[in-house]
Amino acid sequence: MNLEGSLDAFGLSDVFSLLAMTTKSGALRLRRTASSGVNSAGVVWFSSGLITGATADLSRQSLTRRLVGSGIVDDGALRSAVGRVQSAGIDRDGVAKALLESGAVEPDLLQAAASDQILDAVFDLMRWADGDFAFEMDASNPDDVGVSIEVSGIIEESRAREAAWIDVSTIIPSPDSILSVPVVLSADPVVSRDEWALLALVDGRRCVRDLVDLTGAGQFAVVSTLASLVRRGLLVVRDVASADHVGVVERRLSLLGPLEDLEVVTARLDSPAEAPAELEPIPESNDGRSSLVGLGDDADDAADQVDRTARAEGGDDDDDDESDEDFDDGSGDDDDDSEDADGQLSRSMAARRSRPSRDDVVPDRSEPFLPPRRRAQSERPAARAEASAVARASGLVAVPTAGGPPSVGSAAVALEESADPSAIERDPSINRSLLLRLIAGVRGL
Amino acid sequence: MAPRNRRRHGGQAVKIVVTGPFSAGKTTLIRTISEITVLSTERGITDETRAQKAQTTVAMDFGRISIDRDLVLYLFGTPGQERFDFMWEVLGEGMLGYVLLVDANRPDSFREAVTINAAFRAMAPVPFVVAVNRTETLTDELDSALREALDIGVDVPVLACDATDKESVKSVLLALLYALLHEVEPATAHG
Repeated sequence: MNLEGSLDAFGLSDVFSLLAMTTKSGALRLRRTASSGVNSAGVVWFSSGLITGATADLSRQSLTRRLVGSGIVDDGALRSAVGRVQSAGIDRDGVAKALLESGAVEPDLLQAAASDQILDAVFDLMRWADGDFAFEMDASNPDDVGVSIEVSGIIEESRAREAAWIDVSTIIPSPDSILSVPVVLSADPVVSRDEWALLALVDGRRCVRDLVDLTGAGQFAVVSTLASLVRRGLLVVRDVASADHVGVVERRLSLLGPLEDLEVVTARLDSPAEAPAELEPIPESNDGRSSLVGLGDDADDAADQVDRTARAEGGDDDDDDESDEDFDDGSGDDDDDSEDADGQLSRSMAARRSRPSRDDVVPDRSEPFLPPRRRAQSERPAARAEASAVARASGLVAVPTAGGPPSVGSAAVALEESADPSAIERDPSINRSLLLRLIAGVRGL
Repeated sequence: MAPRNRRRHGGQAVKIVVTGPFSAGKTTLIRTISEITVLSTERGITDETRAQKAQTTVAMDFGRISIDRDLVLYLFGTPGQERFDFMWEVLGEGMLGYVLLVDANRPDSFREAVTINAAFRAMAPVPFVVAVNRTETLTDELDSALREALDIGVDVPVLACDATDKESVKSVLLALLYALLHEVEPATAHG
């Protein structure tokens, strides 16, 4: 080691300038321990004073992730490149270069991605308030794909980003922030293709960090785009503690319930002070479990899932897909079915009786089909475990019985490992009536 | 007690996916039948496939057919180039079924269709039809070649299609809907 020190004594931009002016080649390695105790490590590669590569997180294949996120690498090429690096056995880097050498990616695309990666990484590293650096002379970049950028340009760009970041971070406060698409827009939306590609990934559950990972486009680019969409009202930062649009409408309509002599079913109340004076008691299902009232969207999902299960296993002879009576009739026709099916139907009926009816409260609007979220890729075990714990705490996951797996709640289904985790199921609510309507509609076009 | 309000305000939306090889005519098919201006995410092509067309879909096409007051059919077109196949699973979520569109004049793209079809079959065991674009009639030879390449039986409809002709596109969608009906209720389906 020829050059080493502390970042709080010698700023990164100064280190960069020094290495550039002395036309050094090698690896500037940085590490720090955050207040949370998490260790971070990054590296910036130099060749004759120019930056040829950088990553702010050595634990991840940042450049390769960017390529994967942009969709320009297929499974076979990636598998082959990873295999080449593993067989070399030197270190974990070099996948991007292996992809280039195998012809799996076009040099122009890879170099553009590498340039963006350098900018993003240096921007991240320059925001480290503390940490240590050490320069390893003559170390060569294993992912050198022919990019070399002058230090002065990168520092200038990073400073410009820093200024913009202050504004952006007030809108998107955290990598763990969750965004959703608002139900009501004040004007017709106008979006660019890049914005649309990002909008398509926002599902009200993925956090900003997930979106950055999925796109591979870099934190600054993704967060800046998201902030722009939020500013224009096309996205909202979801406050987990507050009710969504539907929840607010349901809550207010529930206040009218006693006057309208309707079945009072909504119970998404944010605070006791806003609760109606008298709410009807929450009905219980036949198996003694409380129904899903009060759990909002999750309750809807759970009840829907139970309905689907009951329909699938208990049969559904309904020609009309819309009414409660239709469902009751269906259960009446199934008197001879097995106990399991009866139990599911009973639970379904209880859930249907008790859950809020969105059809009664949601105004007319056309909206895209929004299927339940499924994993688009493998999720971190820790995140899944956390999700599982939250779901269990909320009561949406039934305790497995000796007779089979948990059977109540969408979360139970989402957390179940299916035989084929990649399989996507068609909406099981499709029935003959619906299909005949579709056929008639298409014929009449 | 007053009768419960049973009006349906929210309606129901269902989805059909249109997939197929690059430049098969997916965007055109959706534009032909959609009642709205198709929201298309196209981008200029910079690689060697530019010779086939100037722009390609990079995320999806999105069209709509209002069936009645309470039912809307959405059409989602997939990007044809394999490097965007990460979008397929997103678009395939919850689909009723799918249309596999191939170009009759480009037998070299059938291999790509096989790959795409295999991916969709693996994603969801939903009914599908094969629409052969840019041909007025489907010869026995072409029908056999496609069925053999795609490894599909006689139960899967394969039909000629003109993606620029509304009636032709309607026929494709109807074939898929009848296939769905047959799956739901085999005894009563007809088409």
